[in-house]
Amino acid sequence: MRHPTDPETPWRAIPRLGKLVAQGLIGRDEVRAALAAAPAPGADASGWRARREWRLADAIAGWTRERARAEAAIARVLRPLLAARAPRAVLESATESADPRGALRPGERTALLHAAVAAALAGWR
Amino acid sequence: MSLWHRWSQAAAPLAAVPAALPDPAAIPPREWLYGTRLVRRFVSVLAAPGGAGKSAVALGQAVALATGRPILGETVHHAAPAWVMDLEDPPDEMDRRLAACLRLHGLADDAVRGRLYLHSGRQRRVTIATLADGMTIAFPDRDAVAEAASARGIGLIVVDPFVKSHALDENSNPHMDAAATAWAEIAERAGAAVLLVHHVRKLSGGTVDVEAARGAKALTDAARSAAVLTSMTAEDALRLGVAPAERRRLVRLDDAKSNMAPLAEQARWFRLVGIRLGNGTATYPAGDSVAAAAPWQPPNPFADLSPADANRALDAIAAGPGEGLLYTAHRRGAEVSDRWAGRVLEGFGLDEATAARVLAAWLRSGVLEETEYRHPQQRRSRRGLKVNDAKRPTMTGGGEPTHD
Repeated sequence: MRHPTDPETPWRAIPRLGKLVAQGLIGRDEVRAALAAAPAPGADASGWRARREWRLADAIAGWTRERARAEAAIARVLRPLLAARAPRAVLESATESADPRGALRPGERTALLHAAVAAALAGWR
Repeated sequence: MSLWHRWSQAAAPLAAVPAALPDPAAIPPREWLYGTRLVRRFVSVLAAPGGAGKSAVALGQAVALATGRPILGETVHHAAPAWVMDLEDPPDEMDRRLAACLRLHGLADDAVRGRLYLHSGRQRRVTIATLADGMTIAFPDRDAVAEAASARGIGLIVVDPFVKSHALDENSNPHMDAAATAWAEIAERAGAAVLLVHHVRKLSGGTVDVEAARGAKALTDAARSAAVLTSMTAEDALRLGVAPAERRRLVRLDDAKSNMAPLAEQARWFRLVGIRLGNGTATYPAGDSVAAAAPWQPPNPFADLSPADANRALDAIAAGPGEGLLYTAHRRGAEVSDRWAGRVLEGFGLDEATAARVLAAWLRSGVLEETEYRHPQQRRSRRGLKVNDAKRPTMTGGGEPTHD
């Protein structure tokens, strides 16, 4: 929980930064350095450091779990559609819907879809 | 063909379509490139045991296609760029083989420049099919190969050896079918012929056939044509009058899908010629000698037998070795060796092997026929030769008889 003296803007940015770390777009140390450099007038330095570190760790862990859930959901939702040889638009829409929070990057969702389609085509030989 | 294009084809509704029955004259012919072995959009297999010269022959076919010259004696229907993927050897070795082939056939570098492409698997592996997660077959390089071949207008892709182009189980028919199908898809997408060079094991006696192909038979079944390359056997060498030292350089190419191999005289033969590259150094003054393939014809057994002598020999054979006796076609056993018809031909200067080949040719063409007769001394039925005069060597306008 945010202490009243903790700076509000960095505090609110931490979950989004955790998502970027989980997606591999920026490094954890890079984020930590940026947060440490953020102005925190009036904040207790030691307390603010501990709270932001915990918040960042929770955010990264949460988004990592969400990404795994999204991957599993995409595989689960595609399986019957591929078996039914659904058209491309249906497959793409189902892939998007299986990751409503956008835990996976668009390219990652596309790659998962392509891999599933390629595996299905290979399995039909 | 993109992934989604293939998906749309696979996901399209399946319907029974009535035969269109077009005018046969309007159906496009198969796009043959080389002899009756390589055709665009299809996979062919060249199988051979180790050391039979399959790489030299495959490279010779690629050079023939790239230059449009029938350097191996087979018709080039349509010259096209060729891409040789040697997945075992380093680039240097490919350069040596190509240099030997060009030197043997008197071709300048310009004959193949820009029309022959080489790829060494030592520099970049090519994996057409592999197991992605222990269960699912993936095709990592299939699209890249098809696109690269299309971009260069490649007409032939040589894959030497096929086994190095995949990481699947050779003894699994589904796996081999998947790998062969992946190459067939490349052939289709690139509009090219694909020649898969495949290693086979020797059977006892040194013979090989398509059933001996290492691994799953699905590979050869999936091919439009399959040929087997084998070294000359001691039996064929004896039949053709080839010296033992020479026979090791001679290989024959047979249709692996045919049940009957042609006789040695009618087979397509190649001679593996060692070509000195002249690349000696202080350490290796002799330089390299590299094998290249050249067409080879068995010696003509009639070359030393004039038509007039042939007819005189047939007269002698018809007369028989003695009163009431006939010559035999075979030389087995001491008892008949003097009655072997080849002895007559030896009297005209032919050696034993050549005499045997002349007799075999006359038996095949019907000039000589085997018949039953009663042996006057032994008073039992024996087999002997009679001459079919209607099929004797014909007379030309100049009065000289000629062989058919």
